[in-house]
Amino acid sequence: MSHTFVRLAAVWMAGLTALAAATSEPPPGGINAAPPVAPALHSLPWAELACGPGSVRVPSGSWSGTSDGGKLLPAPIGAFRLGSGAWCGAGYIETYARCVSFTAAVTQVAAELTYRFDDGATWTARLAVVGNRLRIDEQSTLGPRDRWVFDAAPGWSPAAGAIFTAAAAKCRFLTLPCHYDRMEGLVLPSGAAAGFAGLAVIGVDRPEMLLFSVDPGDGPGVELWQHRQLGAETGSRQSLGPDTKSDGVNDPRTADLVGPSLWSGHVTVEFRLMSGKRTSWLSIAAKPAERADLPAAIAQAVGAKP
Amino acid sequence: MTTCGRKSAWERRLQPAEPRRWQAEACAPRWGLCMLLALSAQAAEIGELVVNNHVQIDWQDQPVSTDLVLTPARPISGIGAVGAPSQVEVLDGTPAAASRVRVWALVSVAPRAQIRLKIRDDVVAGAPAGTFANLPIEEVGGIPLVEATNGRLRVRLPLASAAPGTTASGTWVPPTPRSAFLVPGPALPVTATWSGPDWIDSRQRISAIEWQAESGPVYLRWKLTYRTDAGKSWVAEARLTAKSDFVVLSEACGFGDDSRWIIDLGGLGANRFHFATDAKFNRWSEITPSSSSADEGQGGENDFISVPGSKCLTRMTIWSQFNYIRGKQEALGVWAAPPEPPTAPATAASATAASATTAEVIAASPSAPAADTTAPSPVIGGFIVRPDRWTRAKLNHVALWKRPQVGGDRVSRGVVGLPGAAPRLAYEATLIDGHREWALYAKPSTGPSKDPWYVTQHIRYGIWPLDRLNRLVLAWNADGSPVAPEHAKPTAEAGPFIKHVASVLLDTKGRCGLQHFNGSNPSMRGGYAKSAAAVAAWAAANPTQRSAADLQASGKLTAMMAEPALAAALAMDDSAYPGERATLPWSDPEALNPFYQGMENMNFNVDRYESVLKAGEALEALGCPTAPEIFADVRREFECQLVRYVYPRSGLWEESHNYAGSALSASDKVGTAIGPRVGVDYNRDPRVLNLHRVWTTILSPKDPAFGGRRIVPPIGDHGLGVGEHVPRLTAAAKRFQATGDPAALVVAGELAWSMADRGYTVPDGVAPIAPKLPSRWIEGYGTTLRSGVGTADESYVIVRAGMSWGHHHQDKGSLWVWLNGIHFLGDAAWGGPPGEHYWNPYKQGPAGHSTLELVGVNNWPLPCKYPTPWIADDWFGAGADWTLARCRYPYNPEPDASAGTPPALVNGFDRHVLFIHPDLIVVRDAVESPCATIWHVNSLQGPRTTVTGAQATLASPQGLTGDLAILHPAGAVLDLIPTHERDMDDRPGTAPHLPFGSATTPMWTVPKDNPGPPAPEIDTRTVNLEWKMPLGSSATWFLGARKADHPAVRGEVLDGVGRVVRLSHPDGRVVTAFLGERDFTWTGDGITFAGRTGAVVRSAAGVTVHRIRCERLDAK
Repeated sequence: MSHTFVRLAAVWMAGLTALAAATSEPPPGGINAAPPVAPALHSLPWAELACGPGSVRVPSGSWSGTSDGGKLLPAPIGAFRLGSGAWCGAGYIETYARCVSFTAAVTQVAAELTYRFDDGATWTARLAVVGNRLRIDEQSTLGPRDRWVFDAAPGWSPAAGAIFTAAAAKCRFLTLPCHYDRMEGLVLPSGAAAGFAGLAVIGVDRPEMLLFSVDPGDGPGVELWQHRQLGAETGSRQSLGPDTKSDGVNDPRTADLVGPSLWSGHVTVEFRLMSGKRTSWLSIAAKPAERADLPAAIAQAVGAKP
Repeated sequence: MTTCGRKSAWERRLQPAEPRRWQAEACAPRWGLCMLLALSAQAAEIGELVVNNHVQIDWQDQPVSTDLVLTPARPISGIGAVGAPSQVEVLDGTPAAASRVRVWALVSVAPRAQIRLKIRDDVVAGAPAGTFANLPIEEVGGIPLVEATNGRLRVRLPLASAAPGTTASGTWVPPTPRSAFLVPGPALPVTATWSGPDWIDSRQRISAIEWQAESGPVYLRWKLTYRTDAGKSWVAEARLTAKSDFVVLSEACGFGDDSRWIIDLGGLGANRFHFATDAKFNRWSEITPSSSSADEGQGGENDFISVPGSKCLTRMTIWSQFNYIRGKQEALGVWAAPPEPPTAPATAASATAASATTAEVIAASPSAPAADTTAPSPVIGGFIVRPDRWTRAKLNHVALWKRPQVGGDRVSRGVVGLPGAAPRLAYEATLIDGHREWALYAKPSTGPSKDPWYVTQHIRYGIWPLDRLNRLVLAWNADGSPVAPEHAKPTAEAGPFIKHVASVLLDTKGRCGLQHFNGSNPSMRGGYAKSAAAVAAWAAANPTQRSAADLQASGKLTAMMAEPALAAALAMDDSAYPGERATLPWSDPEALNPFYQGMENMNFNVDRYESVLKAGEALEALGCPTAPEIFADVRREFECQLVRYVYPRSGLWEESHNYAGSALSASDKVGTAIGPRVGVDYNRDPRVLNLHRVWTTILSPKDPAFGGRRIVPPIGDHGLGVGEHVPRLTAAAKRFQATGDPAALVVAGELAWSMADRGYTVPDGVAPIAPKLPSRWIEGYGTTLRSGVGTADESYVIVRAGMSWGHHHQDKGSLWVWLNGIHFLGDAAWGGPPGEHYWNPYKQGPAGHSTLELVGVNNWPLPCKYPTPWIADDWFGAGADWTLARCRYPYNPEPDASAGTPPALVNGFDRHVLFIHPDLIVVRDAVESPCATIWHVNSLQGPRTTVTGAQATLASPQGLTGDLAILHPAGAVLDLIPTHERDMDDRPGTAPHLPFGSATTPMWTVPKDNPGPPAPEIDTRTVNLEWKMPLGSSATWFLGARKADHPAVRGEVLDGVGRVVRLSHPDGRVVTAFLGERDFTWTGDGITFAGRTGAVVRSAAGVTVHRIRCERLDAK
């Protein structure tokens, strides 16, 4: 890990000069944060499903073996993009059981992905384009701490979000500057009717918005987090304690006093995979030009009347 | 940035932790306290172990050691101490051919006593310290368990076992990597009623465990190396000494991720845990059955970020100054106590303490409930060993967590919302990275609040055990010759340093020694200097007493040699204060900042190394050959402070004013004392010069309310200090002048100017030099905008947005304003409002400042933990200045599905401040926040401030009046708050409805030796102007000054959204100001504008255009 630290520091230092003159919002994790690094994934071919104004990247093909702590399997949503823009984010699975096989059946408008694990558990995700949205039906027999993660940092680095009720009648906006670890939003299918039913990740200096909403049910929930993470070590993003990773600063003129942080900011959407079923919806949208129009844009993206 | 001239952090982080400085590990050959002998093959006596106990502790059955070099290498069999159980640890080589060994013996030694043990090579080994016993029926996950015991403590471990008097080793490799949740950790203390379990919480799987075990008369030792299928490892070496109540672990953690070792306490039924405070170690708190209780644990008010569903009750980590966060401790302990007996009727005393926790009441009570002394369960816990050797302290914690868990389902631990989940206690030791040394115990409870064992364990057995004390160089000969053992024998009389030594090693209030070396401790602050002076005086009066033999003969060895040397060692030790690691850049993996982990108060370390300096001077007077090493240490610490805590581009000290005084003092005391000894003239050092120069840079205009004096603006935690630092700066000017160095002469002259200009006596021989005081950015502070410097109409606007710490003050973006020499805006009651010091909303809270308050999030600007505001842009011109303070909060208010928030992609505000010289400021507060927002300013013209709607009038006694008005949005209504009326988080001492300041406040501070002009009483009365802003709204407002008998300054919005405003001053000037968050265009009033920021000033003299941040600004 030490050599990784040194390399990250060198990369950061190279980037600081360019950042130092900026007066815009600092990047997630602070002006001295390390650039985010995508997780190391097993190589699988990507398929693409068009979804409203954008598209999502879905793993395809098949794979078998024994995953270990070094490489991760891609999640059903590997990345997304708005229009023909850059691919945003990286999806991966994070389970305690070891994945031993993956199969995918993908068409232009749907996909069925099956992950099998060495403890006999299975997880199936069925994706279908419905209108401008992507419906995701999941069924899992995995354990309580297993999850799939959409890490929004690679290629995107958003630093804001929202959590909203069914029909997006109420939106609570969230700042996600990633100076520490915290779950900022939780959407439980059991509470979807009455409580929050969806969440959004929003780029501050970028046009993309990514939204997930959850249908009522009794399945596991979806979490919105702000994290700091050490390089590609996805496991480092959790549980280190809020006062552990507080070396991010925002001021370009004094950042050199603090030095280059080894940590990068990562906003993640984390889908619990404990035993059960869940139906959720993915929407891609363009951020409106005016901030005041955000609630309406969210409502429109999730198919609700503003 | 360099790291104090030592190895870079990157180099150092690769090195194993080693003891440093002048302990005998490095000095043994020089001083001969430890035997280091070349041996002949025939010699039966090969060395001697000498134990000198200079402290007043009756040590029983303690392991002590000495190191031997074996030349040539030879087998260790037969080597041992005569007359005590002994055991040989191979340091270099193998048991069959060892070239360097550590001979351990188990000894008991009385206070002020010496024992000497011969070391021979024909010693018959004694009985082993304990036994290893396999527990085949206890297999967990196919891993055989072993129980090691010394007859006092039973410890469970996997695999490692050795027959009495032997060593053994092996490797366990499962057929396929094993789930970590099935693998036990390296040492679990167990009792007849509790046996864990413990496991490793990691997504990685265990692919192998390599083990070694050793059984001998002094200790049982085992070493386990856990390897994972991701190629990571965790190495844990455990040592269980004969007759010990604890097992010591030394770990190299390298699992990464969020891996933890879990010691499940669910079966203990625990309802109490203990913790330390600044004052006392022996406190405990109740554990409630709920999933989370705000009242549990300590320091909750300082924990701004919680883990959903879980609760950290206490956390053992190194350097836990002030008991922050969640009760960081040097020791852990949990146990089950029977239910409390019915409480007695409340007495007056207990009623007074009603708001204190139960634990506090009991700890303070002389008659604690019976339950406190008859606990039915064992106490399971741990304590720190050698914190100076811990690395990666940011990650290296052992904490007591209460997390949801479904029965025995280990993987469910911490998951919120699982059916059947209930809160379950466990110790969680991170296994991520770094080196850690600590001890575990399982002890029958005798009532922890009364048991001195709990009070002293981490100091006496963890940080300063006998073996470590005995390796210190506490006796010497001034000529450098070796000290004969008989001359090193402790003597009975105590000396001037005894109280300091006792405070660290013996005082039951002691915690890691840190609190002794805390700058709040008067025993340390100045105490060392006093003691050192006494020793030095004795040395001067007894010039022949310069060898151990002489002091032994006079009975003064312990008093005048050992105790001063021991006091120096205690103060220098990184266990006492994390001097160096607290001065690394915060991003360094070994850094102990951010705050609350290590050094919160930079001045404390200044005080500490002043103490080391004084101890060094005492030892130098006694001819101690190691005194130069002490001075080198002081220099290094001093340099670290100058690098880390003096802002290089401004000279500002990291902390606000009084605290900065410690740094000024140190640069005098330490720099002056240490400079000649190390060949450096610190009076020429640019960092030292800047540290002083900044006190002229930030001075206010000559304020008629303060007798025409310039003052240090009361930013931070100290209130008004009219004559602050005058004596220190006067002395510094003399020192700088004496150097003859051109740069130092300039600073000396400017300091002299600051004296002359304020009416203080100018240092002899120093010619005042008026400094240039332009509008400028001051690193760490913010921006200072000035006009008319040196005239009667001098104006000064401070925009606070920088990294320096105002000591808890929530003053992001705050303003202090003088216009034409008259003060108008600042802090409530000039920083000294009624009520408590801490958590007082009008003192440290945003209401005490002239800034915005975001409700529902924490507004603290502590560096690192709470990202600070910054000056994002500035522009300084002839006739106008502009600065942009960017204030961001990384927090969100708690989500609530019943209410929305304004759209916001960040949480904070930009404060644009346009200063039209000399008497107008226009402020645009561009708010983007999901929080409710309150606008505050504090009028320094308190009783003469009136409010009408969105306008306020601030009349001064000097005939100048300020006009303040919220121009945008329309309809703002200002509230005028004349008294302290906000609660202080229900804390005792709340003082509502007391006025801010008084009309007759004594002028503080009046320097004794340089009092300056007569010090009148001053009027410190202020009022708070408050406006609850509409959600998601921005605001544009102004403050202008005019003669009292002139019409008010008027303002109006020209664009409907507050980006373009026009101010009309009664002197005929008309200012059109442009303050946009983003580029915009506007045309009107004969002006064409495109950009973000600019201003047009029209007057009888003509039109002045200030093109600040714009593409185009034309005015007819």
